[in-house]
Amino acid sequence: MRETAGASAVAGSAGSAGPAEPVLAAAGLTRTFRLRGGQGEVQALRGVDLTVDAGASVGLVGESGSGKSTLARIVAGLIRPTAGSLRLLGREVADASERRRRALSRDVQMIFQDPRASLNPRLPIHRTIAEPLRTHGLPARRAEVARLLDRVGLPARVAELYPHQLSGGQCQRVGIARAIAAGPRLIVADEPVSALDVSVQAQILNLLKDLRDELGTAFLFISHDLGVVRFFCERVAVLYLGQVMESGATERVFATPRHPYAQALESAAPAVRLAERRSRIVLQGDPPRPEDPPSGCPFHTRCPVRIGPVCDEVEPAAYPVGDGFARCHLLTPEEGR
Amino acid sequence: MAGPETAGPGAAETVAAPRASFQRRLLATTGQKVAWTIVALFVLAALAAPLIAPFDPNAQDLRHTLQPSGGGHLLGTDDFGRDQLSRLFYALRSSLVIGVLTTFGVALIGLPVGLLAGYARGALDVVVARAIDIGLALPSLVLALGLIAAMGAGLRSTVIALIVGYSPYLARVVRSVVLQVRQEEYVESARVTGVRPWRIVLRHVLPNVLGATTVQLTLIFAFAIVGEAGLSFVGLGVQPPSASLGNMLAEGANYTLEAPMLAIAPGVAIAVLLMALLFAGDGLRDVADPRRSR
Repeated sequence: MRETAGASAVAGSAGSAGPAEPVLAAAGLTRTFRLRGGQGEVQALRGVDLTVDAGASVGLVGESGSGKSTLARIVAGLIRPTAGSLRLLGREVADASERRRRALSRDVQMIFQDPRASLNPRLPIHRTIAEPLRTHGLPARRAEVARLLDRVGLPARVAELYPHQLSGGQCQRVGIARAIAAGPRLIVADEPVSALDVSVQAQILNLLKDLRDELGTAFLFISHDLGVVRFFCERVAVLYLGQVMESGATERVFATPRHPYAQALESAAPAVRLAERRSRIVLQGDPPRPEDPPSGCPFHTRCPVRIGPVCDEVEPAAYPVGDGFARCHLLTPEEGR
Repeated sequence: MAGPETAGPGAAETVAAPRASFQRRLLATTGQKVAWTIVALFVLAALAAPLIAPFDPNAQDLRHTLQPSGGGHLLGTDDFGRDQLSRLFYALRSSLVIGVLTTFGVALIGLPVGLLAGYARGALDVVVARAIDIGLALPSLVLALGLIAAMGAGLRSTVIALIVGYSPYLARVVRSVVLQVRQEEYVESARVTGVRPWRIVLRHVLPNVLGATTVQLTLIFAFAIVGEAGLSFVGLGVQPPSASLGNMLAEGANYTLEAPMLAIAPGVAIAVLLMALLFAGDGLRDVADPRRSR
């Protein structure tokens, strides 16, 4: 099947030699939410295939409602997928019990979007940071907390303070210290800088990059900011209505996006140099409502290069592009079948 | 949620002001000072009743019944010639004892039940939520009347009946607050960290539920005092000759024309104590929340 061919293509270095197991391997991951009042359902994720290799950073971009956060929450173990497979560090967790899932928590950590809301307002910072250490039976002495604070660029006296006494950026540094405390192999970063001021964003991004290079932690990095993803991730997946539309090496996807949606996204990103600036593709209309997804290609209602009825009727398969794939009928060899 | 940024513009590191002392934050406003002073005075009067009561509260003097105030009896005497002021001090004693015991009992039952139902959700929550609804559907005082009828009147039965009657109120409030708190990102982050559920409840949910609980508990303390008064008024609470605000009110009500002070004194005591308690509860909530402290 072509689908599966595409799926393995996402795996990126899976084809390369070495038995190294990816830290995250999702296949056909689907999550359905029942709407309030029992009226219908929303498919937040529709068969997502995604792989994150050890130490790699994979970006996940898409509009709000595309399912980015749902995927993050599934990977972090906050919710379960409805269908599909999710392997973390080689273990299948899609239908794991809460206990088995908890056993993985040392290796899979998360950084949240709202740094202040993600810290318990009633705990002093040192207790928040020590929590993963205690939970996983690691020494949680003050010196260790001070070391972690230092590592994220905060002075040791922050340990005694409460979240409301810190700025947003400082709170996010605390969140990062908590995430790295127990030495995870994968960190899910759900829009880790989008709630912060631009100047603080850069500091936090640099901090994350330094930590990643130092610790070799893999990242699933979720953002709607293409510049941020481009800076941080070597691979990227573009999500639209719960499906991966295109994926591949960041440089390739940004330089020569093959899916019309990825092209539109790329053209909307502000270019730094004038010479790089090209005409912007403006998408018409709003994204379809996820509770009522279009037939065929999910993007056909807004696609500027729609080729015909095939787009309305047939869901495009994943066509290999470089070391990734794109889902678009334009790429099919037997065009207009 | 957007608290004021403590970091000044350009200041890379925050120098947070140390938190003001507990008392200073609690007594921040004049209203709070007045409320807590009144509560303290009532408690003091109850504790020191044997020392400050001018007469034995149960000593009868049938030659001087229904005296107006004066002649050593500041609030006059009742229909048995007992000193009304002394009885009032002792009545406060039984009211406060019942209030404290009831509040503790309600906290002991309502808090765990609400936490469990709100955090566990699922079938357990459905069962507990229905039980709470049933408890709320029955008027507390009617429920208390039935229980006392079964157990026999007295202080112990009164406390038990009030605990049973008021626990659903606390459980309901706690449950609904837990349902909110469990959605907070800091609870989710604790789950991602791998913290065990009971520990999440104790460390992350409970402390953040206590603020709302404190207010509710002061309300229940106040309700318990009114409840005792109501039960004693109809003769099912504290049994004579022991004085309670309720049975004093009931006895006084028989002599509203001859000796109005007999009903007015306990009535005013109940009203003032209640208002002070409600104000004080508000103050406690504000102090319990670190985000509200300046």
